[in-house]
Amino acid sequence: MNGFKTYFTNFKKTFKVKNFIMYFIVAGAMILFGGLGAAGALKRSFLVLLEQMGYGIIVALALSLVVGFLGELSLGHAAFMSIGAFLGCYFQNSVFPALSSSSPFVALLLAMLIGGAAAGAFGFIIGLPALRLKGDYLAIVTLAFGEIVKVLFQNIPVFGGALGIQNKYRYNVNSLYIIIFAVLLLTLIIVQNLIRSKHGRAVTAIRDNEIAAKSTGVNVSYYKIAVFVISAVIAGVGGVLFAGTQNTFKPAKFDYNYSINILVMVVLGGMGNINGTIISAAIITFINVRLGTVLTGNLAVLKDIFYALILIALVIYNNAPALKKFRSKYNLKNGAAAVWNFLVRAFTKKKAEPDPAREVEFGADWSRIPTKVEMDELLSTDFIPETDKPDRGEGGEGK
Amino acid sequence: MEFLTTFINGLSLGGVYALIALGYTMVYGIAKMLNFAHGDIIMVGGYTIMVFFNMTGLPLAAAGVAVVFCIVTGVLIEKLAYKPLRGASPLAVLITAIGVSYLLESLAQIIFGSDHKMVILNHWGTLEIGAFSVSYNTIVTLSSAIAIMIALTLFVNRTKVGKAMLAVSEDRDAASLMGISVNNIITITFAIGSALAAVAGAFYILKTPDVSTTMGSMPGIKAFTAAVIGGIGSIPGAMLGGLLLGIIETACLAVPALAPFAIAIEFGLLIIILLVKPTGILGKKKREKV
Amino acid sequence: MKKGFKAMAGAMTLTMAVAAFAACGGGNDKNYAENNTQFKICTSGPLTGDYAKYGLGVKNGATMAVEEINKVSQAELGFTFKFDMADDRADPTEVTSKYTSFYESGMQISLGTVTSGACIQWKADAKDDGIFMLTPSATSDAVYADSDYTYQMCFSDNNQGTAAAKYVKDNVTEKTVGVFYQTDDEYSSGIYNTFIAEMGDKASAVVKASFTKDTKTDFSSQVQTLKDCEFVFMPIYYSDASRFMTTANLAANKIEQYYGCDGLDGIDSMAGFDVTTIPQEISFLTHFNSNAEGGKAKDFVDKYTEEFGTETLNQFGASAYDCVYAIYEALKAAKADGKEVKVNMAPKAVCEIMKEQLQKITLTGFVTGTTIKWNKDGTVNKPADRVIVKGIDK
Repeated sequence: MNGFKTYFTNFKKTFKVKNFIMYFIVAGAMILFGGLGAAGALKRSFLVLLEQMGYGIIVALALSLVVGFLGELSLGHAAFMSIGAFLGCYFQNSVFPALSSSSPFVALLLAMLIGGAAAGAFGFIIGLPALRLKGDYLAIVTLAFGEIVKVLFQNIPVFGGALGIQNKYRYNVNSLYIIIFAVLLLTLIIVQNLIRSKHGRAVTAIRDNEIAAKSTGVNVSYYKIAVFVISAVIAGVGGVLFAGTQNTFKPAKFDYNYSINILVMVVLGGMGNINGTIISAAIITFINVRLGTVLTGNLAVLKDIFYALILIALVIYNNAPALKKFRSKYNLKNGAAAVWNFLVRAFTKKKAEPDPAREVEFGADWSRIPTKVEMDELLSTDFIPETDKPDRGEGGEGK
Repeated sequence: MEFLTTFINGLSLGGVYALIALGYTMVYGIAKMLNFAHGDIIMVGGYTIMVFFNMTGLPLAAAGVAVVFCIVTGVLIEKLAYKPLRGASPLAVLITAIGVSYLLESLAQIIFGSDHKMVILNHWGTLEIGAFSVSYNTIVTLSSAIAIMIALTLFVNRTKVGKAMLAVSEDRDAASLMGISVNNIITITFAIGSALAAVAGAFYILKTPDVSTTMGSMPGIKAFTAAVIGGIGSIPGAMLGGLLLGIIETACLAVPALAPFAIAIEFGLLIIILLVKPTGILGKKKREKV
Repeated sequence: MKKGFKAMAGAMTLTMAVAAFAACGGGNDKNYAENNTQFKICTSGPLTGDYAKYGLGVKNGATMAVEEINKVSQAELGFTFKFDMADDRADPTEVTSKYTSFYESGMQISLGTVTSGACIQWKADAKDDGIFMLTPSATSDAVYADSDYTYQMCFSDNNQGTAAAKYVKDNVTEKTVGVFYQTDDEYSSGIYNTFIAEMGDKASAVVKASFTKDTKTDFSSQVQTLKDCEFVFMPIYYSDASRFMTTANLAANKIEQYYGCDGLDGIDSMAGFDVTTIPQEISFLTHFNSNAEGGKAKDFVDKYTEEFGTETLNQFGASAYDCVYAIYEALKAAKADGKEVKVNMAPKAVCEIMKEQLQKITLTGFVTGTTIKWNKDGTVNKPADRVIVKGIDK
């Protein structure tokens, strides 16, 4: 009893809204839209949008683990998704069709297990080169892996060949988005707790300085493979959910372009920033879907132009060093803080002031983990001239 | 005999990939960014060549105009989309590069339409030695690729600008302390990269007389792969990587049973090469410092 | 703070649960078309990317037909038509959002989609809404299978592959037969699979060469593979076929005859490609001849060229043009039968009328066929011509 009380006081002391706000947002959205959907107040197009946002966010979270927290660039995450999607769909179609038609939820759960496990196995395989390769070399291996998976699915007849697989048991659009949101919430809890645990700190330590992490006793190989496997499992589950939203899909969907689209979500959200990744994945999916449905006929060709301009503008606004001052003044965080302060003031008639004790005193605040990845270091390898220059690295003098 | 023909076809395709990879590796090694829009600069070059070739009928002049036009486009893109992000994470630049790529493809469709267009620049015939024949196109492509490779290597190692490029790629901050204008050097790099893309576009059309809005995207990715396989930043490495890719691809396509899997085999072999040589074929191992 | 959140979340759950049970049975059978002032025909297809020219062909053909019909339909039917088309990049996963958006904006009849994979998705999306579908160009057999509301204006893969195999078995007995196809393209591999199956015991003698979207930079290896074939069957699109022919011209080969399906249509109008430089005979099986000397096809070609140029002039546009006219004729026939279609009629009711009419109707004098009828399963029944684009140079 006493232990629980201590835990509770500790929890109360370390509790910060921003650590949990996403749980509330996702759960809130699930309940809100679930209720509205059940009441028949939501249009089908909106449910479809929710589905797409949901699995988009799940896959973006998966990639965020690898890119944002492990600091390795992956250009082939769509492959994990496609493994989940094709295997999940295949199992629902041919191995348990009876289950799929009688209790589709159980079939979907089983498919998620199988798809996730299969994707995880491939995550292990791709994790192995990560032990040996760095930066762009690893990125190209993941890209190659993605293309190989695509070609294999195109040429295995049971997966439908070029025409793609046909999902005979598409999940009911009126309830699938609730399941997707539930899985999303679960993913979010897993990812956040993973990052906030000692394992998560080990992973970020590897990202920030591998050699230093190794020298403090972090098992680099173990963590690298583990992150790839976990990320692949999540992406695979996202793929199964994706398959549930479709009647048919082609292997060609999961090419490097799709992987890059997922990467766009992660990078726009801010590397290693879970909340940002979720928001940016939702926004990008929304923009894509809206542009596609609004710009029809002769205007369709403008879709990519608008998308490209939005993308460039967002990235420059978010990242340009010259706009740093402007950014720190007008950003989402400040906006949200202003709204929050306004609400607090309105309800408590008391000025909300930052609690200085809370600013310093928290142990497990995952958002404190440095979020800026030194990708410069990770991606850069020297441009090596072909002349016989004395190798400066040989002496081993420090920087 | 069959084998030799396939090998020569492979060299000829590999020459085109190598030319693209040379441009890629310049931008990549010095500006340190994955320029996904590089393939689309090839497309811009392709369309420019098409327009001027149809107007004048002179392939060389058309290629010359394409080089100029691509340099202007490349520098413009660099100034507008990449320069504001100097100092930010390279992944952010990668995203703008993707944006630029979408932009260029859509603009090309608006201007030139969606249809593929055939542009037959020249056929110089074939050189027959005994039983086997090599088309002069292949010889010209390969020798140009080698000439450009040598010229680039000399330029980078012997000229002042080239050495400044090396310095920038080595350590941007130190280079700027030494009085090198990093911004100018990167702009020059983009100009050279774009010029090479235009040249690659010309040879691409010589090999594949087809101009379309997406003509550059897959060759761009393959060139990126070739550049990495050869060793990032290594000019002969990019050349070697490109040739290797071309030969593997042609060999796979020559066997009907393997043809559908050509890309998978190609990329599979590349993974194996990288696992054996983690920094590419000609890349040097970089000692890590703490 | 935490308590507050808990209370808030609890309250929210409760409200939602109450709302969920209170307001059950919202109108899923809502007629979104009830406020329509024009009869709405929608479709999706690739308007950007690699296959854009086919989607644009459909868009232009259908737009042209709607403009023509709108001049007379007010008097005939009492309303005019509105056509809209979204971009799906030939990707089934892009379809659902476009379909639902169209459905909710009052779509009453659809032209399915342009490509097969996307069309299967569209068909499934449309099932419960009863949106009738007449596709101009989705050739896959899965498009019409197991459904009564899906019709094709084009020949199915099965039909084309069978016809090609029959032609080869009847006419090309002495020659070595080769086939050149695209493994990762649904249209090409669909026809190829039927063709090989129909060839029976002769299939093993057929020399096969293939390419994929990612490896179509260079065709010289495939030319090498097929160099000893006198007859080459090409179930592919014309942009790739033209490059194969150009590449083949550079190497010694025994090819005498190129034979293709409706994908080859447009090869003679391709920019920069001159069919007369190809020594071989080029012919293909099609329902539309862009070089027709007279008749409806010539009128269509002239008008299309005047409005949109020759760039996207292909059988996709002609087929879409006919689709719109077929819908118009069916609606007129329904009116004559006393089942008048109203401008704001619900899609399901429209679908019933269309299904009935398309089983009965025989259309004559269309661009893609002098007589057009539909079989019970939704496949089209019309004559196919072997069009010889260019004779052999002796």
